[in-house]
Amino acid sequence: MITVHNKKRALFIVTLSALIPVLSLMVGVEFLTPLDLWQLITQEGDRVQRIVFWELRLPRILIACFVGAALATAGGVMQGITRNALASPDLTGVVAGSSCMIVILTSLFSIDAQWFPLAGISGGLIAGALTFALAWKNGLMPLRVILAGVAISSVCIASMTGFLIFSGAEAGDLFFWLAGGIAGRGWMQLEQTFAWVLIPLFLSILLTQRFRVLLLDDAIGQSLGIAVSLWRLIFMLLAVIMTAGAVTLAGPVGFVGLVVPHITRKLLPEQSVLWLPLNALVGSGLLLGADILARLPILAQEIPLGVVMSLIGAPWLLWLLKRQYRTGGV
Amino acid sequence: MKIIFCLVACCLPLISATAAAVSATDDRGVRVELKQPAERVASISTFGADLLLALGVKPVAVTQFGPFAKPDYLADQLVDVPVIGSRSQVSMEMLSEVSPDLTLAIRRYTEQNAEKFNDIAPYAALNLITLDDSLRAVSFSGALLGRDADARALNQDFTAMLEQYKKKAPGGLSAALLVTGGEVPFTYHDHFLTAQLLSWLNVKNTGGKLSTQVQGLPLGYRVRLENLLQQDPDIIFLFQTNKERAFTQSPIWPYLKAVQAGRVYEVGQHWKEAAGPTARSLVFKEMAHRIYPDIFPMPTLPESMRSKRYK
Repeated sequence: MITVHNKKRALFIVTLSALIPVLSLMVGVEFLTPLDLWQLITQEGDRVQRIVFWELRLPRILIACFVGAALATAGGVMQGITRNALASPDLTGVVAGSSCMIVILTSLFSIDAQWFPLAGISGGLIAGALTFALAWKNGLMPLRVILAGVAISSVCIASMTGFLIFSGAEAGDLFFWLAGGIAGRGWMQLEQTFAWVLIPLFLSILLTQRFRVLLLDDAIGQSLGIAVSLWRLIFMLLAVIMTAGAVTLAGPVGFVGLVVPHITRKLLPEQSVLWLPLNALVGSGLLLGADILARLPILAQEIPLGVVMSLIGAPWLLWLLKRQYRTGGV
Repeated sequence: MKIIFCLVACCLPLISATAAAVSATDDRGVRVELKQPAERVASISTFGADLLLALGVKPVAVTQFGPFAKPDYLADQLVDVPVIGSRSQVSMEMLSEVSPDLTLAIRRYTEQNAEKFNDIAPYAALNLITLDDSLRAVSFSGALLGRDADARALNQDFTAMLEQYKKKAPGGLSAALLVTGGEVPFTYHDHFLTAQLLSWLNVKNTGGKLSTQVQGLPLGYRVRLENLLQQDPDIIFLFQTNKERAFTQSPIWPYLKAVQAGRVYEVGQHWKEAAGPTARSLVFKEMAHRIYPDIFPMPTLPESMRSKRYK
């Protein structure tokens, strides 16, 4: 049930999500005022500011929004259909699979960064497919998916570590990529990957009604005439594809898929038709906020986005667990 | 008289042994002592091979030169010298097989294995990051090889050349030294030898100073593209990488002054490891030519190492 208090909270979060992109456009090496932004949109403006605005900050913000939305929605889907509040896209093996494929191809064949999207998506899909194949036994059992995902992730991480040792001069670049981040990404990466992120994202949101049925007991779903296993597989596939796209764009950024559904559950019940879209919105806002922190001009170098997200996500998760423990939720 | 003669005769070997013993303090502050000047020297870093050959001594073992087995500017003189691994992963077995009497090593990759190296031969650790490091390492190694005067001459010739070029260089330009195959380029701080050489040509390194450093580290940082755009260097030197540089496909790349003026150069691997007397001289002369082509001539270099205009 949506209370007045929750409505206020939701309104606050929606407003914040609208303001964060504007703040994100303003913050950087050079601070752009709202007036600067307005001039850059409506007129020519200063040359350097124009390049920074159109070529660096705008695509970066879009990438942060897409990645945040995809990871948070994938997290919501995973937690919903596995009925496990600690499930996240990482547990399907997709994140490790994407990363592993990029590390292997870079170490063995020195592939250029322009091939990362193809490598990352294929790696993620292969790992996801292996997870599902291992988990399948007369249907897709949520617990088996998580166990198989953990196993596949472990294999991928072990392989990745082995290849990193032998990657020589490329190791520094690979470690930087593995720390997660969207520094240096632009329109090109967005063009290469956006379909892999946006199509499954929109499909997940469009199919919310089916998702809501999967949140119920399997017997209820079947009594409503829904092919539960098939729809569970479809939603898992959508989560896998959008996660692979997101990892390819931003590297392995953790905690978004895990944390955001917990935030949104406090605002709306999972059964609400707006719950998945709210995940996307909050995920975008959270990743954009983290990206602003990552590129604050305190240090000469940006802090990797994955590091910032972990610094925000880990304490928050611990606080949540402690709070639930106190209230008897755990 | 006979007694004195006998005493002198008895002490002669002792005196000559003392005279032949050499010692010097390495960059860890450890005194390296040899009973006689080193003759069989293993080199872990290109610096050692470069210096030894400049002093007319052939190393007994060398390490890889980045992705290459040996540097082309020394390759002819290193034909039958075994390669015993990379700077960070030296094969101890191969090192012991060549029975060195001294190991000249780059400090940051080898210090953690100092004891193992010492078990094979006296180990000397050198920072090899700044120009001072290079000058000091040449003197230090010269002392252990019993060739102080030759080493001193190498340093004097080089510093004289720096002074001479500085007087001729008009200045008023800026340059960036960039490396990586990724989307965010790594740039070097002022104290990194190659970047430091820019100041001897009156050119500003856009990488800037490092306020606090430990043993010259970090060498640099991943520069924000917004910063690179603001710094807008007049010349860009791209260091070796075996991948297409993704940052050159970034949207800001075409807007950079150096790119628009066609003043972006891919340089050889020796720019990364320029501490050796031959390498530092080649790098400096080539750098001077690329920055002021009308004033300084291009040095003679193997084709594989020559800087090329980046397209």
